[in-house]
Amino acid sequence: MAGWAAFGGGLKRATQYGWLLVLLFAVNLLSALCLAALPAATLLPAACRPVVREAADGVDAWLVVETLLVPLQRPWLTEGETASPSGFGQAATTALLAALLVPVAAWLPSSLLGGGVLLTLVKAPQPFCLRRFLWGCWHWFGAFLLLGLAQAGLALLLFAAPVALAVGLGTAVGAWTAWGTVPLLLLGAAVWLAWCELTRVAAVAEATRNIARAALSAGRFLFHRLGAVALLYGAALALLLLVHALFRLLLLPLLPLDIWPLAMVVQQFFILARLWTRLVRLGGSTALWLADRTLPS
Amino acid sequence: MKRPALLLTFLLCTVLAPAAPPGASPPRGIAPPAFPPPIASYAIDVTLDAEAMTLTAHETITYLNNSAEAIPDLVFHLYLNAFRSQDSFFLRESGTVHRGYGWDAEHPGWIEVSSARLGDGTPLQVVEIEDGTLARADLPTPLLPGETLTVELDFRAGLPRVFARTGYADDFVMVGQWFPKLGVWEDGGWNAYPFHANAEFYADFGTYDVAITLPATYLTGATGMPVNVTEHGDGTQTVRYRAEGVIDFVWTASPRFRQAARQVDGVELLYLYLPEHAWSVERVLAAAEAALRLYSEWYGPYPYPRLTVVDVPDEGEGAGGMEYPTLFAAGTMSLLGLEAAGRAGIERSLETVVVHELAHQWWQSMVAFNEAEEPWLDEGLTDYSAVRVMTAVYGADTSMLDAGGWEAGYFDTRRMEYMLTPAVPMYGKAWDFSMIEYGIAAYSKPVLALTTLERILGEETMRQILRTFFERYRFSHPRTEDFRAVAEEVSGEDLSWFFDGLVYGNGVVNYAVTAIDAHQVTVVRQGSLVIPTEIEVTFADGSTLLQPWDGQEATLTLTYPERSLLRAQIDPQRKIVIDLQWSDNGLSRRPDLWAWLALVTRLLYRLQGGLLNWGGL
Repeated sequence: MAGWAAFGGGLKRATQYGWLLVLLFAVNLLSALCLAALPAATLLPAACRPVVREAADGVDAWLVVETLLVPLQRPWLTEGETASPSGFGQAATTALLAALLVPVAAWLPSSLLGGGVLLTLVKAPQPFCLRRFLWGCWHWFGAFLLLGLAQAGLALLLFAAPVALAVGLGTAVGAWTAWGTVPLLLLGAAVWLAWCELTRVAAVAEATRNIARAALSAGRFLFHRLGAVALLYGAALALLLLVHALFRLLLLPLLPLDIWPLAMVVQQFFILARLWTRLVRLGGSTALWLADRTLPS
Repeated sequence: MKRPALLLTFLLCTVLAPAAPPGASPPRGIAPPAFPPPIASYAIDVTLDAEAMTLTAHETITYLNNSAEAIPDLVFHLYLNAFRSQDSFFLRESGTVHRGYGWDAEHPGWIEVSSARLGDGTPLQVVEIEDGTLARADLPTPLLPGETLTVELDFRAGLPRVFARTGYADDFVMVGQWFPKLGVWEDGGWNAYPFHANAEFYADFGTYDVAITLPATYLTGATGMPVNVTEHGDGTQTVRYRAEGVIDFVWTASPRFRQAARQVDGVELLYLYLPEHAWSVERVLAAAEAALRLYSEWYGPYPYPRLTVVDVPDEGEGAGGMEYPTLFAAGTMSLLGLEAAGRAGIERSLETVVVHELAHQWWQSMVAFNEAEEPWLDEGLTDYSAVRVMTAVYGADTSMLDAGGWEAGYFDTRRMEYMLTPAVPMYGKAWDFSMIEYGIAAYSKPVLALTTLERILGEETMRQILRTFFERYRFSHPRTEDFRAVAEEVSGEDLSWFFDGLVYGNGVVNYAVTAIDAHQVTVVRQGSLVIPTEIEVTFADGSTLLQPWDGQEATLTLTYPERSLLRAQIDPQRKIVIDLQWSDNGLSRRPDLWAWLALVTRLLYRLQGGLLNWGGL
């Protein structure tokens, strides 16, 4: 199967399994809500400050600067009655904390849902089955948790040295070297991410929880079908860029931030669209993998 | 219909049009300048050895004693000796680093006077004093009030590899503070300090006539106007410049210089740039043109026929960002360290430097403050003016950074710097401050203080103050108290809060509303700085009341037993920009849940995007 056909297969699968999209969106929203709860609560006192309306209309540089530098000013403000804090500082601190927790919050649910999503896609065109989905989630949860950890560790080991080398080269020789090093690093990262994703596809498609075996299988697949994989991922990337362009260039400039319900609806549709493009890519990978395995040897 | 090809041709012709040829007469359309009688005038013949980067010169000083005292001696600045060895005040105080650029011990700067005599041939003994950046010569007979004397000097100087505004980088030279230069006689003595790391310069007005001999391939720029060029036929040329009514003379040269020029209301705006920075031409000229027009409109006309902007090479950036009469060095460095963003125009350090240095033509070159003793006056008024131009031309929120949603104004950057170390007085000698304090005292705090003054007095009154100050003290040496007198005279107000509190004082202020209930609101002033302000009280029925507050008491409680309060806001028009926290200036009885939800949903969306970016769901 060629990359284009796989991409078509991905589109078909992503369209067929609307429930998958709903489930993914719900988990994404729920995870984000959990992360946002504490900052939202700490921001509540600031809602009594009239300046919150200014912030809601678009955060100005002065508010960011002030929020960040308030702790530094305490030594200068010893005279007079101590003012109650405006609330922006605490909210900014907890928001930063939430942002730091994002990688963990991304890793856990995706490890849980990965098996169920891929199993549904592997079984296409069978209709969506919740029981099978949940079984898939549970069956591969531990394996995918481990896989995520291993891949993060390996990525650090593999990319730390090349990134340091590229930075060193840029500093010593000149910033122009980035024209060579950055595309190389990006290419390396793309191959690495494709391999990570195909490892998950391989694990589910070959019904194994042996991560090493799945990784080797994915590596072999990547090596033999590099052209098709590149075409599939290129098309998926183009689709994602198109979604971004539509949102950022067309919708975002027209979005009235002060009418937050409207802004929120548009933003949530954008998140949904991004999730859909991901489902297209996963569906395409699955289609490519399965087609390769059903070819006569 | 747009015609890009024609437009491009027009732009190229405009930008790359040759500057006025040497010897050109001043352009028409400007009033003949009324320069003051010269006090200290200099005629210098200098030769550059472009291999050794040394200068050999003969200097004739004509000095008029316009004081009421007899002057017994002469004191000269020998600034280049600040870069002679690590023992100089400058290098000790700076730790051999200036604006992030290091001093190169292998290529120091130096100056030595080989002979000195009076106009009648009487020899003078020139003796270095302090750290060698000053020299004194006793006169055989005191110079009486109203008398003029002439001094002849021969000197040699070595240019350092570019450091602290001056020197060479490959074949580029920026020759600033390079000749023996008299101090300023005032209050019965010479006002002349050794060259300190933070300090800048102070000199009398005069006429400069300088003949520069250098390789014929070099293109030059200098204070004043070129008078003539003589080709010697041996690969060298002599370019002669003349400038009237100026306090200093600088020159620059490079065989790689290109030039672009345009006319701005009768002034020739000349940009000497290096080929690798050709991308900066249109932006530099546009910023300079806008600034020249606005400063002339706000303060008074620029009286010289030419203004030269000089580009500096990447390896000589230490020479950039410096003002001299009728010429300033810009450079394409990025103040935020974002070279690519600067080049793309997302970050506007290039324009900021141009607009700032150009303001010095008014606040330093014409109103010649003592930059060593009162640096806040020249840098403060300059940077305040620059913020106003940057805001007017590039927008209040985007004048420093404009990167698709990531925005910052020049004013914002100054407020941020101030908030890092706010408890610093503006007034003080340059060497009384640490490097960081100097930046706050001379630049950031004056911008905020003067903007606060402007917003309290009104834009028109503030402009009238500065215009009056400029007109009254053009071509002289005013002090802080002279500025105070003008400000209080024009505004008709006692401005003690500004001068005693902000200029001479190191107090800070944060106004805050700390409590509000149905009938009572409590406001506080934190910090010792007292600035009169207003409190806007909004009642439940929607009516508002503006209540003046002199800020004298640290706490104030306002009671309205008959009415129901909704909201209170101190300084509702945000006039006091030096207030450390604006965000606590208001308090409402009812939380603005609509705005809160807007912020929360925005945070939620960012987190959702973050989860997706990290490969999650």
